[in-house]
Amino acid sequence: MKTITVSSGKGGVGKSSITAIIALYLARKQNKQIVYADCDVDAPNAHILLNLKEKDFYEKEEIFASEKATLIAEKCIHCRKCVSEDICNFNAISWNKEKNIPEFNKYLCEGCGSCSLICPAKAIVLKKVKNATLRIAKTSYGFPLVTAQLEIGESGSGKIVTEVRKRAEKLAEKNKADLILIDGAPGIGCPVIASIQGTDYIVAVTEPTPAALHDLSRLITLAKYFQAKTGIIINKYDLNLKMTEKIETYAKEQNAPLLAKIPYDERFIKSLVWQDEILLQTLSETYVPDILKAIKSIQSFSI
Amino acid sequence: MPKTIAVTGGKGGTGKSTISTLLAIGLSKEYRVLLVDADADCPNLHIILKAKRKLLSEVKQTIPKWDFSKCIKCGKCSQVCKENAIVFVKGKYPIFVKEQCIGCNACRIICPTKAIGKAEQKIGAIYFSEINSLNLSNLHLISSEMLITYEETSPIVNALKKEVSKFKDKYDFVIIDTAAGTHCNVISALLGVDFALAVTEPTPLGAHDLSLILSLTKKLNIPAFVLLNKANMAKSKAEEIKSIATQFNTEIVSEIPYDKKIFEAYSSANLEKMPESLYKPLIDFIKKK
Amino acid sequence: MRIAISCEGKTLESNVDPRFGRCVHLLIVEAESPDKINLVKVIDNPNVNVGGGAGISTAQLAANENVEAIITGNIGPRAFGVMQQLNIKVYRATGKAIDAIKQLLEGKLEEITIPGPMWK
Repeated sequence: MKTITVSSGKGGVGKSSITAIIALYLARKQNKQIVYADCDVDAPNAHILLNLKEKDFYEKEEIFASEKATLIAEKCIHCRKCVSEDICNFNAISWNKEKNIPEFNKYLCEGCGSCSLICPAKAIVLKKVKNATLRIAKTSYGFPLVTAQLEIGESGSGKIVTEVRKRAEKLAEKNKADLILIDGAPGIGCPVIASIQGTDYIVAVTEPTPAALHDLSRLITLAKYFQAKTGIIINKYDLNLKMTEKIETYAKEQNAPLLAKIPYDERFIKSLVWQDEILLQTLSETYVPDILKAIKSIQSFSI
Repeated sequence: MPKTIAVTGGKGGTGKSTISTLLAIGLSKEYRVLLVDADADCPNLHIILKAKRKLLSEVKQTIPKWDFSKCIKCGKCSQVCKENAIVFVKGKYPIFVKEQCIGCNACRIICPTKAIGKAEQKIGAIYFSEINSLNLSNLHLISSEMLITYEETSPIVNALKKEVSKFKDKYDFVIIDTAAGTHCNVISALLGVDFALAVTEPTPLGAHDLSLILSLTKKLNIPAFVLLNKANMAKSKAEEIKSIATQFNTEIVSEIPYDKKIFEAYSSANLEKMPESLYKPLIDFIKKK
Repeated sequence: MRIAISCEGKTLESNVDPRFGRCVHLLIVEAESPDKINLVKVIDNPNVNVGGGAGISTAQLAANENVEAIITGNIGPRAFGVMQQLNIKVYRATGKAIDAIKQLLEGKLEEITIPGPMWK
């Protein structure tokens, strides 16, 4: 069983749409067993692209992947050790002069436990917080989707991505799946690192703009650090042929071969807005065969 | 005291960077503007503006430093580290995995022989740029950038905001371009702003993510307004955007149509050549506020 | 020579697990010569389902078994860094675990030497 992560660095280049059509093609045209993992846990979109309704979701789980400091007020001896220097490096603790107790800012608290360790009265404990809701759905395309939504205001995206991957792996084992397809988050921070670690292949999607190329280069550097084979797809390539050429040159220099150039195709928006499954299917048959062929022939990576 | 505006959106690719840059350019014709790139993962504003970056400061994070002469190899530091940044093998000195470290004090506090002191590691940088093209002398850019392979962008954004607070009174407007998403680095960028401009697009994805970002600004008690970008992309969905805005007690303050000219200007990094008429209503709205 | 090898199964007849951090089992072996290979311990990897840092946790687990070498398919850069600091060599192998160990003793296995992290 293999894992492929679709990533981009820059947001909005078409990562999720391309992941969706790859999944559709593999499942419908090649009869592959796949598990689709939406690892953009801040703002997951796969369930919308795949046209899922509430009734399609059959499993729901609350994720408690982070801890935050909380006070047991009765135990506090008001020594103020927790607000002294070199205890909280995240500015998450302030002293409430009226109540004479510490107050914790949950948006800044990292759950490191430093304050809990220094408290002589054991009045500060770390409590698990719910940071996401994970759900699993059966799509009409013949594969399951594992998705999670970060609780608004919470942190720990990276840990939630790891939970999504764990569930996807369990499901893949159960279904004897050939592939786990990961729709990654934008950027190169912890949620992206969590979707790249241990993956077998990265499909890097980009668009012909200077900003996207800049972000792509940061992603490629990260991919090399994690030793993952990477291929590049230029989406909407015909909107700027000069930039497309620049990206092709860059891809060659980096040994991250160009897998495909996809033109700006209005049908992507149409299939999304009209929730048109047949149109999505057509798009998958139009563009995915070349992508898969390239992955296999250029990098000898087979699914 | 400048007016601080965050340009955000949740969904990537809705045009946050384009809008924040156009807004900054437009306002700088009359006012002194500081544009802030808080997308520390993938900062783009210096690319869009073809601006040369000067290093302002390095972002450093506290890390532990062992005095092995005092270390009794008890392994307690490894036990309290929640980030798997300290590996302890029986009989050996602890091994530090610096990319996992978030810079807390737990290991230093727990060490029974006070063998752990403080050191620093560089995790990112803050840059300053003047925009020397055309009539943009009233526009400055300050941007953040995280070192690749590190995980946490929040500390970089926090350091960026600290730098901004040092000289923000020199400006009339501070415009902060946040990252996509709704997680901690976006929260760090949003905290303390006067209001947020949520940039969205008329698609189901835009609508979905708009609800998320407006929930976040509501939770953080930050007034938010909606900008509908690429407004003519899918007219049927524009209604949905309107109703989401109403649901969150706000409104669409500007609608900018999808214009190939904007994309071409953006993709060749020539945004300053954009006709002002395209985004004038937005400028007027901001000036009114 | 004491070796840790990531395995898909619990015996040396099983295949080398291509993953290190989240391998299913870690087998500890005492190997003196190709015909003197003894399986001394089978560890069910507790990190197979853990959050971030699995590689580092498994590295710690393996290192605590006093091994001189690791045989696996792939190891992440951070876990590898830990091995380097502990002077534990890491070798790449596929196929049956017992064959991989024999190849190591015969000097036929590729040592993994991942370069350090790349900064922009």
